[in-house]
Amino acid sequence: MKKVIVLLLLLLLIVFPVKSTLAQDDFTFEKAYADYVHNYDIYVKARSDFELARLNYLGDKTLASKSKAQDAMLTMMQARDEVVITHLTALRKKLTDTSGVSGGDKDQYLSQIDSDVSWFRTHKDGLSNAGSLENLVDESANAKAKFEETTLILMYKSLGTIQIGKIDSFTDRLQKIVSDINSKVSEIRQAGDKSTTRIERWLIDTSARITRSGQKKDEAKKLLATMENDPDSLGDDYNDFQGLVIESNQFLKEAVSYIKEIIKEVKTAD
Amino acid sequence: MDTQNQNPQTNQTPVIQPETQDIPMQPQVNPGLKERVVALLKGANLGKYKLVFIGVGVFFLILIVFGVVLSLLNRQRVVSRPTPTPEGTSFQSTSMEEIKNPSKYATDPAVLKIQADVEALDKDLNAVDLKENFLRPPDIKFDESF
Repeated sequence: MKKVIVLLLLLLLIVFPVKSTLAQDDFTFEKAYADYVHNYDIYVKARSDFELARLNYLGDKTLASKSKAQDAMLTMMQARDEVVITHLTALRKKLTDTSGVSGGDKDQYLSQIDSDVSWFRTHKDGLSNAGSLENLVDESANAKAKFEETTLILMYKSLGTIQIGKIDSFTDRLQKIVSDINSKVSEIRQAGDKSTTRIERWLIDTSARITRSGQKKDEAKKLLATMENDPDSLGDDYNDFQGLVIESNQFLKEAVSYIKEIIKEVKTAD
Repeated sequence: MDTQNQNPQTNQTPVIQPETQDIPMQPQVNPGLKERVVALLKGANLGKYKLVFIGVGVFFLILIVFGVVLSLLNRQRVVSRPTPTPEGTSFQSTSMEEIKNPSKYATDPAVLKIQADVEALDKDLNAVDLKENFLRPPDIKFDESF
């Protein structure tokens, strides 16, 4: 009997490390995004089923078809809430993973995301208590109001903040490189073994590109901050915002291209 | 004379006496253990051990099933990670080929470090997906009416 117990303990020792290895797996953005895509597929199917059940009910107006429409609407609404929850969760993960997003912005949006996720989770859990089709229609109106008043703009602004964060991160790296080059050029000038006139002129052009990038980024941030909570115009405003971010990124690319030329010049003898 | 009778011993078939030499003794078996094993094989005392054997068997079965499930889960979670490769070596050699008339700073460690940083930034700038349209708000409808 003792041998059996020892054997069992040894086997448990084998099993437990496997469990701890599984526990180390983090909830990654890829996992969060896959959850969102999966739930969106479920919603699309549930929406299609609901539309069919709705048309059947509007056609024959029987109690049976009404019951089926109610069941289909409940399933669709639960799937829709889950889509919002998983999308916000993926955005949340992206926000935390993006290094350039400043602490204040990040905390503000994370808090709002948590609040909206909580709202839709509560709403979803309460849907099964709706006793009639009319109740579900009312609950759907509540979800619509919440989505259009806070969630939709939160999604756009969080996404915009992630993009600004990326530009900020690139700009920081670029400015560090320019600072290093300035130090090296100063060293070369003092050594006097190579002309630095052309290099210094090119460095001014490079800084001008970084400045232009910063201006475009500031315009984008301003547009993001003043974006109005109008579901009809949000998409267009966001496209304008994206245009500014792309321009800002383009100026950074040009600055990097200039720096590559500067390095080549430094490495080439007069 | 009957000679046969004279020497009756001469034609008599020799009788082989059984060997009286001692057969080596087999190792002494613990009588208690032996008895138990025999009893177990005969099934006489199986009831006493049946539960233990069944329990161990079921435990192993559960472990095997658990292990298979875990291995399947792990297989799904495996994320291929690229093997880290040094970035500096190839970078320096290709850059040096481009410069036909190198200055004394062509091999300067600080310059090479800046060059590596710029190349990394250039790579990231070109690879980044700034728009991330896949994360745009989902296309969902709230227009239910009856």
